[in-house]
Amino acid sequence: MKRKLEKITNSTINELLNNEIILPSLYFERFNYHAKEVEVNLDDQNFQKEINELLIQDYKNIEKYINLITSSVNELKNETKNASTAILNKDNDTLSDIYKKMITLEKEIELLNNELFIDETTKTYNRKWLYSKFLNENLYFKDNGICTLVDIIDYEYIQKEYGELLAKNFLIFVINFISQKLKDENYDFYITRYFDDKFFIFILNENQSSIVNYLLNLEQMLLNTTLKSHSGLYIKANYKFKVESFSTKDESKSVFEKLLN
Amino acid sequence: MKHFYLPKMGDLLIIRNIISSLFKDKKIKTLFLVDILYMKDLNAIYNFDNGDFIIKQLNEILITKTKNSIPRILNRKILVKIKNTHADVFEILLYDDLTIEEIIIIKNLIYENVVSNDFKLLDKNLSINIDVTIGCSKSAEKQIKSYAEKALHEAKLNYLHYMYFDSFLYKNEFVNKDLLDILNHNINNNLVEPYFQAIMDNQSNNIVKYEALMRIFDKDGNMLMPNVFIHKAKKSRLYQKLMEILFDKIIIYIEKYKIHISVNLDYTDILNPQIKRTLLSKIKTKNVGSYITFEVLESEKVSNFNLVNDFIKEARIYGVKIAIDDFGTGFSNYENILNLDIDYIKIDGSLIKKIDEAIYLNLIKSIVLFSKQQNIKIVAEFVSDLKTLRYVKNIGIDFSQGYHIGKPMCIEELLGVKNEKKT
Repeated sequence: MKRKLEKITNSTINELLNNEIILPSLYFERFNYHAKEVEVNLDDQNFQKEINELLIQDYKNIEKYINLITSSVNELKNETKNASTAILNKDNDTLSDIYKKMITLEKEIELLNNELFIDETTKTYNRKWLYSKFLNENLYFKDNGICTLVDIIDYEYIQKEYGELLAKNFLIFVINFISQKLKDENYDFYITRYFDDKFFIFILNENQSSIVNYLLNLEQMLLNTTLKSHSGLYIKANYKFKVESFSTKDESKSVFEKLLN
Repeated sequence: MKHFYLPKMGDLLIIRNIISSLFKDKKIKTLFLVDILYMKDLNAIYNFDNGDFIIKQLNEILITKTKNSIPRILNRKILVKIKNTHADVFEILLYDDLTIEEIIIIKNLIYENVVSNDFKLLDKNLSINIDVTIGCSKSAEKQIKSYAEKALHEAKLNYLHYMYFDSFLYKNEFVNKDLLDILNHNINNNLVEPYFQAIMDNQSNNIVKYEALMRIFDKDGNMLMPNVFIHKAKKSRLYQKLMEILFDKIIIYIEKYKIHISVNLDYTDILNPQIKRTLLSKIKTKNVGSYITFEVLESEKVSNFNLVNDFIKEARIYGVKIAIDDFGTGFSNYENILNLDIDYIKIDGSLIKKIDEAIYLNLIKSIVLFSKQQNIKIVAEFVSDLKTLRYVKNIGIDFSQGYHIGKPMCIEELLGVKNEKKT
């Protein structure tokens, strides 16, 4: 059900992205429309039950994050107090102990960040990261660079025909392939999962014409790749790359619209 | 007055049959092709009569055991047609759109029925076991057999007993069809260009040589890298022409700018008398041998070392140096190196990438030690950062190549860089 809900959400957002204002009523109307398309009856009791379970799970996750953050903040407060006392007393042992605790705390916060901003399947950044970290508060870009839309055209077909597990592995392969190639080129880049089958690659402050040329080659490399499994599957998928440059003067919405339309 | 023709009951039945047969053809079917593995061997060992007898028994198994089991296992009525299409190949056609899981179940059924069976031989109290390769596809199109044949072919190429080919994704086989046009466009317009990646002497930190990497251009002027087009170029037999243009340009640049250049050569290039003759005669005529290093790809295909050594001997007359490329992975073999008279070994980039891991560092050290003892110089590829360069220098590798030293660049950029350094 979560998959279906994600699909409905994506279709709804995709459709409404061009609208200047999206009122909750409009969102609900289109959500309802797309729900019918994927044969989900919003009034169905089972559906309601599953939605409730999802909400409860979501609430539990939020509660978990809040608890973790609260305890981390409390710990930080205590350790800061201890540190100032230790500095006054020139207590090196306590200071080294505090330092160790700080490292543990840093790791915990990093873990929390990962859970909040990372797509669980591909380990790329999620939309939450894009809007709350990568863009500024007015949703303008913070840097200059190149944004590439990677559209994995056959993803939905592979998901339907070969099942969730294979589709997931396929997606992981594609993203790892792209990441490795970009790492090999020493590019400063970020990958975000925007929809189920659509990713944005942001490459910052590089020679734009050489990047565009490289991305064209990367697209061709993927198109030339055939995935063969030991269990006898032979998959050659289709991909489409679209490139737009962006600068700090650009509103993200207009750049994304150009790429998605 | 108009007359209307009212169809009779018989006519209606005919029309209905035509419509239903048209409709039936548009339904998805699933096709398995079953091919006896090494049938020629069986014929050679046990003679053709026994070969035919084995095919007859296989036919019996498929028609009785397998055909009857399919509807039972899938728990629904399915029309199944089985025929021996040619020699040792059988076609099992299911008039049903099977899911991937069901296809696996039926494939296992076919495979197990065949491989677990004891096949009798004529006039002998002996029975043997056979193996089969299975190719499968499903489609509503007439080309379903081509798709299943493609699956069978791929299974054999990959030494698998089964492969499924997705007819829906078949369209993607042709996504790159304009690549062939691009290749021809580059040949006809002499567009193939070498891009040069610097090779640095680790002692002096000077750039002493450049590896020439082939680049072609699409009709919009975008540059394409070898892993996009080389496979297609070789498959469409255009690689030799691309190589000729590349080599001509390399010679022009050597004559003009007196730079030392490494050129990649495939083992098959050396075996090809036409390429071999052309390369060596151009080197001789232009007297540029002392500027050239040939990098031969280390490969399992290097089976005839005499031929390679003949080429090396001939090239050496003109002052050409020889390197073995991508050493350390795949089919690398120290004995192979001992059989060849070479100047350099280029350690494969995949090893250099992991040089900070103890196990890879030890492996690279052993290559370095061996090469030093054989008086062979070593080049590290994929030196992408300062850390890697430090490792490489520390273990005594003679030369470095990689993005930290320099990215591949066209001749104009290269000259620009050289001029900048001079000023």
